[in-house]
Amino acid sequence: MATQFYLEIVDLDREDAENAATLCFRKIDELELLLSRFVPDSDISRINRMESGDELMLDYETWQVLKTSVTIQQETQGAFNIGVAEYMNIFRATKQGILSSFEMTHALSTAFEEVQKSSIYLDPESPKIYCLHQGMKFDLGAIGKGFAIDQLTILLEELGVQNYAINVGNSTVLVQGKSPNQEYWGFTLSSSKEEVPLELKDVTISASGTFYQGQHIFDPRTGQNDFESLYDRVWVASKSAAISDAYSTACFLLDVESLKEIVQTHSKIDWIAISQQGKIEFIGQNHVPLKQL
Amino acid sequence: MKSTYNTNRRNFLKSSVLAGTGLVLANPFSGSAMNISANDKVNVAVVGCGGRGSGMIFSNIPKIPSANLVAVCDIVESRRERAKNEFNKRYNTKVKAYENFYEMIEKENLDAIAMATPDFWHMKHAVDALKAGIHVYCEKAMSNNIEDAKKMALAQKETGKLLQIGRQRRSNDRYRFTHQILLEREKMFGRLTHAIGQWNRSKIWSMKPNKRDKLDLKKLKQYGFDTIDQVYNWRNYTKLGGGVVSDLGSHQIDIFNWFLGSYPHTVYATGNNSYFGLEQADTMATILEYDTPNGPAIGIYENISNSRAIGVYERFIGDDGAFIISEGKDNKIYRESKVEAKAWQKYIDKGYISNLASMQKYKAKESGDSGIKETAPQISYDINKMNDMDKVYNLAAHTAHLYNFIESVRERETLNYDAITSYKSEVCIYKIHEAINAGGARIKIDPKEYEI
Repeated sequence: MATQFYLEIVDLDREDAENAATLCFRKIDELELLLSRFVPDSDISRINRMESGDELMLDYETWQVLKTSVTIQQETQGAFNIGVAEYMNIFRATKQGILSSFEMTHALSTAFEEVQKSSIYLDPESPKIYCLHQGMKFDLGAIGKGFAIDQLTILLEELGVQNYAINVGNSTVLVQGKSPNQEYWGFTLSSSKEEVPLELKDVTISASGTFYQGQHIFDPRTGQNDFESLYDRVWVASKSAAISDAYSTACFLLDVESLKEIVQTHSKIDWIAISQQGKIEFIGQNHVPLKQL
Repeated sequence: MKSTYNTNRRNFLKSSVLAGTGLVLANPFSGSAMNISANDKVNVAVVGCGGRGSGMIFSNIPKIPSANLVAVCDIVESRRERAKNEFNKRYNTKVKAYENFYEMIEKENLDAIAMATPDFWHMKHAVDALKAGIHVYCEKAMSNNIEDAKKMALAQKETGKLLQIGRQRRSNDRYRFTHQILLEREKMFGRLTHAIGQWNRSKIWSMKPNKRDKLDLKKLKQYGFDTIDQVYNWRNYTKLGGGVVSDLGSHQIDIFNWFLGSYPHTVYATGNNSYFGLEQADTMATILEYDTPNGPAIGIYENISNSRAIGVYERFIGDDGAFIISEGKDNKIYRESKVEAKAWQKYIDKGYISNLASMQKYKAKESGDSGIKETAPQISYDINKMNDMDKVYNLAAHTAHLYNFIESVRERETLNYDAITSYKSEVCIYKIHEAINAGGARIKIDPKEYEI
């Protein structure tokens, strides 16, 4: 997943905590082999090699993350879409000097046309996927980390761990139960001009932006990454890490009115925050489980 | 699965007018199509519900339409009950759970068992099952000693039943393609002179018992465990497992043997437990000398257990090219500079390999002319399409390997890696053990030692 996972476990003795952490990191390795499009034997790589007429059986977890992806794609009218891998391949090849910037522009248009023609059917009843028309390649970069956190949550609950935090590359943070010294966990939202400290409990926050990784977010609705975002950074809070992760990417592409509507109508999204010209603003704190210090 | 694909169904998918839907949640068929009658399915039980056993139960078997899981077996109650309950919940089945292996094979009408138990249990269960007329898939290593491994191979020979050993790379499409097409047929890399591999990891996984497991040490002793720790970390004990050479090295050294078409006549090896201080070596290195059909070759292999640096892959060097292959991200093919690019164009034309990170189709001009700019990256190749193969599983390797076994039970395939083939690789693994235990020795292997 090209990132680092930090796990903080409270209230267990050292041996039990290390044991839980070991199982978590083993689970992350398993998910990486299943879901990374850079591992040729992964489910996602095999989906990406499907040709028109092919069908595949999937691992249960692959099926789960794909079903969640389709749901969020529909909810966001395509602002979130995992079918962006070829755009990213083209962008990467240009950065590596394989394609010229002139060739990249043409290649992105060609890839977009192919995606528009594609048809991939994910079976809602059993872990199968069908390629009716090829042309779309999946990248789970905008949901995989969140999905992995959700799987770790299930594992930690099975192990009886109640108080913990999982921080994935500082871009998705889950806090559960109590922190070492307090009833809540302290995390900060920061922009170039502001810092907003928060008290958090039983929630995941995901952030999206272009400050650290440059213009790496493609708009699936156009196949381009040269759009002018309205925001420096967007944060989304949800009980589900997959949802917060995916929605933070989608919200980066949506206007403020759309974000307000999401907060008002989506039962699993607690709140959204945006940074515009360095000013941080919370949108529709109608569920507000947070306390701003 | 392409090799067994229903043609009508595939034609329907190909000719469908449902283009341009993008990714949608729907089944293009009104019902399930790939129906295999219950009588034609292989009744299988999984023995051992730990990490690999869970993989068999939840990742492998559900993807094999001809496999019918009927029972699971584990001495740890919580493991077997969790496996049974979770599988029955997911797939609406009536899988049963057993503590006692022999009670299970007596009561259930089994065609096959898949074993993922500690190495020291393999021989007894495998041989007894084969003699009872049950086909066996056994996780590697065959055993933790050469005598038991030999008994298993002999039991396969004597009973005529199937015994597949779980070195899953033997059923990995890319490994098979590399061997069958690139090496054997095209001889793309010339004479292979070196095989180099390593399995480096940052720690040895040591597990604590799950609190829910409620283990009874008295009962565990009946099953050969002296302590509770041995149940979870049996790989760290010499009387129960084979250590890093068996657990990890055997996967890769087996690939050396397979790709070089030969088995080593001499091994040099040393190792120690200096980092973790467990019974088994945590660090080892070995050199293997081969006389291959194409000339002498050298294998170099290491395990490091306190750093993930360099990772896990095999690297083969030939006079015309080299390649890195793995089950992870590290996979690449390199052309030797003395071989002209046009000599390898035929492999690109056949679809076997691609270069330029599969971006050639977007290039307006020939490679190398994208406008004058800063230095372009080194060009290497990737496996593209596995054309001209006898079969492509298009399944993750562990699933493909078990699929091959199940389909062999149904007499639709033959085993990719039976116990007699596996035994040959295990011989050189045990010779490496011998060399390490002798404090670092050079050991000659008589060709007769590989025979069953």
